[in-house]
Amino acid sequence: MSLPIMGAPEKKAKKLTVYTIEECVKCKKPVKREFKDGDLVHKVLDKCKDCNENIMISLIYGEELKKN
Amino acid sequence: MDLIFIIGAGNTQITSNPILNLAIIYLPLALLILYGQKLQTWLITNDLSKTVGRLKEMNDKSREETIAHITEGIDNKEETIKRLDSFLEYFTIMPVDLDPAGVINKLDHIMTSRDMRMKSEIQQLFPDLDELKANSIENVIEIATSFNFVYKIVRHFYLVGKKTNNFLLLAQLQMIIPFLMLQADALNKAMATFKKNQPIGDAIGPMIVGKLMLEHEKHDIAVDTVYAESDISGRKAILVTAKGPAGTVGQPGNAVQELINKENPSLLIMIDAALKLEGEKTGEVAEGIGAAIGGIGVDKFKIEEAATNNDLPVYAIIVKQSLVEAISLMTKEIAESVDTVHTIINRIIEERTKPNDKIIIVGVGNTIGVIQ
Repeated sequence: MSLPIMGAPEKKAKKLTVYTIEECVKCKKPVKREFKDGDLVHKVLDKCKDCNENIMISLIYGEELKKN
Repeated sequence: MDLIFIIGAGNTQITSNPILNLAIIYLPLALLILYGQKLQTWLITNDLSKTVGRLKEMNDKSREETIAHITEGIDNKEETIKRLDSFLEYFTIMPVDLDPAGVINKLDHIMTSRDMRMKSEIQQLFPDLDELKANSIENVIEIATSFNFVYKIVRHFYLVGKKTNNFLLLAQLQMIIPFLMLQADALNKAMATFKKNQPIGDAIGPMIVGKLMLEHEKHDIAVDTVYAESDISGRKAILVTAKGPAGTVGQPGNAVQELINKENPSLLIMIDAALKLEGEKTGEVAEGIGAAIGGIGVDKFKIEEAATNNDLPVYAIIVKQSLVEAISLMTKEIAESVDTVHTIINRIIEERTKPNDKIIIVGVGNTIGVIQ
């Protein structure tokens, strides 16, 4: 028998999925995809198909998967 | 035997036998008075032994993960593991503060020497690694060292309390252990994030200022610290942050001190992640006054001193988060505060400065995974 540890980390920790948000620097159209190794915030990736400006990684973050 | 329970009738009799009544009521009472503390000590020791065991498991896992990360693609694994174990035992002796005058300089010297030694030893151990990977290794080793330290301290007090049967020592350890476990949990999560060079919650300051620095020429100003000049609403904005995407906090104290003396700005804005209080929302942005910077105080001291000597107002913008969030993968709520903070920066600049004024904007925090 033991006393519960109050305030200890939750055993069922939230499972976060890492997402990368790509955004054209001009038309600001965001594209959300899963994180790939080598992704860095503000890394320039490609040219935008619509306006031919740079597409840049604007954000990388973890988000909890929503249950359907 | 008939048991007669009389609830709420004001009668203390449990059974019809008065001797048995005496035994049922007073014997446990006497036992609890005499042995209650021993029973509590036993319960606490039992509870702590499970927690210490869990911490040991986490510590071993962190060591194994560190080994796997640093020996990736390396031939001489045994030598590297041997060196890692010596890294885990590294310690820093804080300067004497009996005479506090000048203690900040001593502290600065010790911490700089410690960082330099760590960097050079990693470079010696892995001479062919690029800067990003070398920095990742440095961060992962630091996390493993912190983990080892937390585990050893907890184990020490647990064993001393158990050895001396010291109820008060064990009770104090039991009271503080939830917070230490939270710290251990945070370190555990930080390990995975640092290995992949993903931004952590604390990277929000460099991310906000880094975005303003894009497409402007960057100049080195202190160790692992860069600045760039930009125009914001007709004011000359000097943007300062640690040099990404490697995981470093740089030396914002030295950088800001030099820039204040050189540029004589009319406003200093500092952006940093700050620990939220329970009940506050993650990613909430708040404004205030003062040097928004954590750490042991060296950088804060330098910035405060330079600002005071130049009569420079220091504005602070903070993004709230928990300790775990600050050192593990950046969450959506934190990441999405970037635009809010940019709006606040623009408002402060327009309200508090005049065109052609100079402003220093500092993004404080660990710049892992963030390019400027």
